[in-house]
Amino acid sequence: MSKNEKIILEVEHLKKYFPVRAGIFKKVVAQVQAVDDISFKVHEGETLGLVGESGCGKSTTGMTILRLYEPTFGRIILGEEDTTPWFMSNNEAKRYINKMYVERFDKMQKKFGSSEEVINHLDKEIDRKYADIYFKQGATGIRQNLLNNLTEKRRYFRKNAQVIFQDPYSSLNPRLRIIEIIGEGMKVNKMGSNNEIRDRVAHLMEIVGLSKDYIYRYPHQFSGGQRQRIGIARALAVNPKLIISDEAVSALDVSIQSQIINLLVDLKKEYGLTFVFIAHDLAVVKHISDKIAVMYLGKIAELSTKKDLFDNPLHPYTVSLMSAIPIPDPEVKKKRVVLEGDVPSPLNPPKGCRFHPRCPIAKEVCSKEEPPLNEVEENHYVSCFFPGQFKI
Amino acid sequence: MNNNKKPLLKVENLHVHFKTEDGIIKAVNGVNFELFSGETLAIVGESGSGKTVTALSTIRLLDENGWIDEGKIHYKDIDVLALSDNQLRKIRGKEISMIFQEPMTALNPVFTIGDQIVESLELHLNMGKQEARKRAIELLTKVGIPEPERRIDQYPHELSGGMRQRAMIAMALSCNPSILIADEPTTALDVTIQAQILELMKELQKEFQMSIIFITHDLGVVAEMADRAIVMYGGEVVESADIITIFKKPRHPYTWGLMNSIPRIDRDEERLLSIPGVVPNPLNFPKGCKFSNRCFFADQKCFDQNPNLEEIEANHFSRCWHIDRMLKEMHKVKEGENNV
Repeated sequence: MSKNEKIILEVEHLKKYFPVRAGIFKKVVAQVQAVDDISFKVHEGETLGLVGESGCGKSTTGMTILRLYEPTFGRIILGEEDTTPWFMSNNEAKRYINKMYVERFDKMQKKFGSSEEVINHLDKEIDRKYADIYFKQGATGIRQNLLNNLTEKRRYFRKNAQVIFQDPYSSLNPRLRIIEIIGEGMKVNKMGSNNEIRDRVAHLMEIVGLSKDYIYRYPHQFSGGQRQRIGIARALAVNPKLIISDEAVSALDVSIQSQIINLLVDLKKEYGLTFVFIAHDLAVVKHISDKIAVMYLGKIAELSTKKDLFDNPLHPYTVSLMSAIPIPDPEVKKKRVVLEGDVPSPLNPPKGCRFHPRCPIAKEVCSKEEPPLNEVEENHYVSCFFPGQFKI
Repeated sequence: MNNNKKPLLKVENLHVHFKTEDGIIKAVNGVNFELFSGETLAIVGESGSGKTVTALSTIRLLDENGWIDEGKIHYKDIDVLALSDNQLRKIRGKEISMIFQEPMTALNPVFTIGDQIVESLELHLNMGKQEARKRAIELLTKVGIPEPERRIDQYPHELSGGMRQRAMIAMALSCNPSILIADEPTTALDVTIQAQILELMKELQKEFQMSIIFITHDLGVVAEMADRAIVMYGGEVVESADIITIFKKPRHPYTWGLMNSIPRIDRDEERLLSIPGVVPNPLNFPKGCKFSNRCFFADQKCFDQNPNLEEIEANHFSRCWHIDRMLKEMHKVKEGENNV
């Protein structure tokens, strides 16, 4: 589905654990495994939908990519750069670089001999890039490359990874005028004179369907749908590489929701935007996404193109989720699997496959081993020992 | 469909007003509906349409600043508006009970769920403590709560969202009501849990032989649960019909627009229809037809005069001046709808 092979965002083995503390010494007594080892890529101009029920970790994933949460583990690549160490403390960053690059490349060099051979054996462009730097400039060189000018690097990241939030009431500063809200990012990134910024804000307002006469108004003078349009204009203002949208249409009335969905689809087409679209509503995700990752309890259960996912869902959870959605047509009598029980707590996820206590086809192995996310068909990944065996 | 039968609940020309700092809100304006025994009636609408207020009015559960300004409400042969508070209390929870969207706010957090069910059994059915507790356990079993003997002594916060909703249903059904008013009971739940609760409600409806008023904005849930639907907009009913008719032959621009603006998992639509404009503020409804300022088919007449709710075919009502125009132009609107 990707028109373009260029990868904008790549997430590798991302984990986010939240410690649970108790007692007077605030000892860590447990870990909430909100996101547990997930990986995906988003290509330029593509929309990846992250869908799942509450507690599946979809929002945590988004917030961790944005570094609004610190990742517990994993690598987050934006464009051609490993952004992971940019937001770490100095020591953490050094440790990370040692482990991720220096030690790995050293080990490979021992195995393959020459540095050229190491580079040849690396699959990913990004690894080849850092290997090249390492072999030419050594550990200091790679550290410098990843950690010099951190302020600039962080600003680059913030400019290029924008976000649209769910609640249009709490995500706009009530004390700022619309021109300040939308123009702030441009100002920080020195994207023009005050006049140029004002003109661009006016232009953006028209793009998202607001009258430019409202440029000096405050957020409270707008309805929920209009505020969401302001949030979208703010995200677009700095020409980001990536926009993460976290339940951006969930709080809106049905008739307003379709306006915003249409707007996002239009903007995507017109400007070739790259989205990670997080939502609990599979119908909305289906409408807007090119690829979809279905999440369950901190893991990706299934990941594929939209078409493959709906034509041929392979994970029993995906099948059940689809069958649970009521269709607005009284003549369609759906066969439905009603899953038993609740989603277990990520504080204490089930052993083996996390879905097995609710899975209609769970076998013994499912409670013992954790199924890896395998590419079962081309570009269709499933973490299930019995993919495609559950049909209704 | 039930023309010969006597309705269980009959609401006529209901007007509900609220007093606020900004002025008087006319939340419901002249709503009529009937509810027959054993059926599920859906009240569909967006925020501010008056759907919840309409349903709450039937048992006079309005906030202090609200009042029924005009209208008649009859439950069986009882004139609900003429009842004293004491008489009303005998109907609420016993004959007509309610479940809400957020069980956490509807359940009392300082009492166990058992206490709360037992209370209504003692109050309405004059049961003794032991008997009531036994019945409560039975009810919890019925609504699919595992280990009811243990759960009955738990507090609401100890239960998950789905379990709380089940507990609330158990409480609502404790006195075998003839009408259950369900106000967005599954909106806050995950879809797999929603599926469980909807199945449960269908089963219990059969078993308890009750009528349900189902308030929701989700057309998927309406299609699945309801026998009839009334669509509300701006405090008025704009269309009502049986469920097949309303989905297959919508005859009001708002109903039609709403149905075409939702993304569906069973279809691949290029583009959703989008109804322009914003949901109107009840303080400031447009003059004339309430939907006129957002309607694809409106003309001057619509801005000036509010149409009546007319019976356009047997048991199918619509409030629109231009049904013919809508039928002629709706395909054009759907295709040409680009830059709204």
